[in-house]
Amino acid sequence: MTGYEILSAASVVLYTFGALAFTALTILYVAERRLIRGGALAAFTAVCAAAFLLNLGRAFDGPSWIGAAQEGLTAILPAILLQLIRAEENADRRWEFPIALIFAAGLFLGPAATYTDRFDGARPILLAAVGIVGLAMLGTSRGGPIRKWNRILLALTAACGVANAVASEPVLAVIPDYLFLAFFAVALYYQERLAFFDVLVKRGAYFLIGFTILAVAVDWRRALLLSPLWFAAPWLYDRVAGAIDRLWLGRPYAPAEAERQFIAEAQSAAGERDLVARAAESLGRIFRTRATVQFTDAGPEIALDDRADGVPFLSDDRRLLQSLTRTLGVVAENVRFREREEELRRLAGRAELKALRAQINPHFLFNALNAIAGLVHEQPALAEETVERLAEVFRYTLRKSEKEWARLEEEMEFVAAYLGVEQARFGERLRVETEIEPAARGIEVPAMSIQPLVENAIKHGVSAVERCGVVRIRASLRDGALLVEVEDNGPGFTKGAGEGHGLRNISERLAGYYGGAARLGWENLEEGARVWVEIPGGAAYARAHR
Amino acid sequence: MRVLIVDDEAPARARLKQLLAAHADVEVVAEADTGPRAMEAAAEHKPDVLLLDIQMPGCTGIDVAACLPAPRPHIVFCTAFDQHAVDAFELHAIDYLLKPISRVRLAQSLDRVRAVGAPAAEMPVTPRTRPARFLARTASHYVVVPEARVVYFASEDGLTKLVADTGQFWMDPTLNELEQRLDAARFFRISRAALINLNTVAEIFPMPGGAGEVLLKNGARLEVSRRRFREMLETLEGNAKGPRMNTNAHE
Repeated sequence: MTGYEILSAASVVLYTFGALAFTALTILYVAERRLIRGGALAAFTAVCAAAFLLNLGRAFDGPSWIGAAQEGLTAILPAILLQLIRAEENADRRWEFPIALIFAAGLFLGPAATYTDRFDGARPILLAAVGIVGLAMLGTSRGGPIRKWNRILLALTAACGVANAVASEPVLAVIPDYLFLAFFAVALYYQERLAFFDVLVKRGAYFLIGFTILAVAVDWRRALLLSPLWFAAPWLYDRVAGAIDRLWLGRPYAPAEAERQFIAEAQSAAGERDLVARAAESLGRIFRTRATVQFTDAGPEIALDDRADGVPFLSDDRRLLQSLTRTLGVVAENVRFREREEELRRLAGRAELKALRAQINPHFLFNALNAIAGLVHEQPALAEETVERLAEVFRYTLRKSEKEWARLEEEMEFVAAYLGVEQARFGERLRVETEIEPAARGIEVPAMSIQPLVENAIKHGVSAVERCGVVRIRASLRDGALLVEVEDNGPGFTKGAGEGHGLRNISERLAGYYGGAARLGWENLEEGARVWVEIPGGAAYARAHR
Repeated sequence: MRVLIVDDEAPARARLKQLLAAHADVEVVAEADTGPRAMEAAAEHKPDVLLLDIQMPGCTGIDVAACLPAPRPHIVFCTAFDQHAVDAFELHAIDYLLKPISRVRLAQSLDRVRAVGAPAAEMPVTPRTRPARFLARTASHYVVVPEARVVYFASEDGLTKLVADTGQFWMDPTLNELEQRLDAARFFRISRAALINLNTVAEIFPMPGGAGEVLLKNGARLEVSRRRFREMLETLEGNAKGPRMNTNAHE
């Protein structure tokens, strides 16, 4: 075998594969009506398919019109290719003008080549022009891998055109065909990866295996002729098997259909019990007998009764049953997941509501309003002030429930407003001492994380003692961490009181923001109790460690 | 109509006084800001109606209502939140007002009191399971005794004695009333004369004939009637943490 023979044999293989692959792709595009990128890829595919088919016809010495048509098509391919790249790159529409020129030249040169060889010299020039115009269109800007590959291929095209114009080597003449295939592979790989693997890689490998076997058994030309049959074999088997299933074995669905049908019927189940009913009904139809479904810890179990007409279950039935059992497991998982998701959504809604309600204790509001009503006549100024404080408390609550962070300063103003309202209720029975280190004022804390400590001190301290209740609030910085302490002179924590609602809420919130780095603690003093939180480095820390 | 106002917050008391001023037949005889002071005022002034706050330092309005001496005044609870409503109505409050108190609602409560007339002498009660506090008298004033401090109640000379680990006090409700009101798993009537806190039982001495004695943690030794003895053992076993049985020690 000479080098030329090897080359032409390889070409025939390539043409065959190209013809099959591109025909399949064209059919795929037409069937799915996917005319992506202005249809350029589809048009390119169609022309490629036709060109490869005609090439193949030519290789087998078909009638002379085949050669003419092939020449014509091959000549317009470069223009379509350029248009494809333009569409991929979203290049300016102005580039369509040179592309149209190249297209017109191809239209002329293709048929002309059949009648005269006067223009043969023009074809490499056209090829070089395609490469150069393409490179110019891509410009110098960097782009993704697709642009890089296109650049390389366009440069090769230009080089190939120039080389062909200078020297006349048969190897050089074949290269453009491979280049077009490479362009196409690049476009397909980056734009339609699934099609690339499904059509080119898988089918290509399948084709190569079949072709090699046939080529060893018979000769390679016949192997080529037989290859479409090789391609059609799986499809043919499905049809034959389906026909036998339906006509002879009386199965209503082929396995793939049964699977589809089963999923469609089971998937919309509202819950596990509904799923059991739906699955049993669907399985009954598929296997033409009564089916029972149950879920165990190991997974779903399907039991089939014997058929009324005595037709036994064959290996295909068993395989289908196994497959459907697995499918049912997946569907059940799906259904459960959906159920859980809905449950979670419901819970989340309720939790939000609860959080909103927890921010301001209704007790506080109603007692405050009652106190204001009592003060209105005797101490109108105090009543007025208390209304203002109350408004401040609510304004802060409404504003901050959307914003999670507040400077300690802001939070302390809120605490002061809150204490102002409580002061109106308790009068001289409540004394507040506040001590905030100036450096701590700007530290960001989770909004409304300090007020509950104070509320806790009032609830368990001041309102539990008959003598004067004292609340001491101290905030300081220690090694960059913010320490807030709240003391009261109440009866102190009884056992297990630390689990108290308000403190646990804060503890959970802090854990949410800071993990284990923020701490909440409490202890009983000689008289009263002390609750403290330690927050590391404020909001910036939490954001970085979340 | 004589009214006693009980609330620990001065503005809340002021509010009630203002609202009551509109009713010509209502006289505010006293105000109190704690449970014990409310008991004293009730004993001194014998009001027809108590306007009673629930959350107060020391003890709650519910505790006050439960310990009021007979004849009990009508009770109208005033509170900011309705989580106590069930408790309140177990104590047969005549009404339940939510703060901020509205003029119209208060008038309705007073109408209800006028319609019912004189307070009932007996205190009908339903048992409760929440720990309570008791308002009991010393020679000079009232004190609050938390349930856990109570060792036993005893009936003496027609009065109820409360024996706590902190001392002895006197109360108005009878043993029968207390027995009905208290959780049977914690308080047990061992005889006509005594109601004990089962948590304070240290030793049990069965005696011939089916009766017995209990030794309580404060050292008191009380007689258990024959009718109650077996039932007491069962209750203690039911509590699953009964005290050591002393079967051989006899005096």
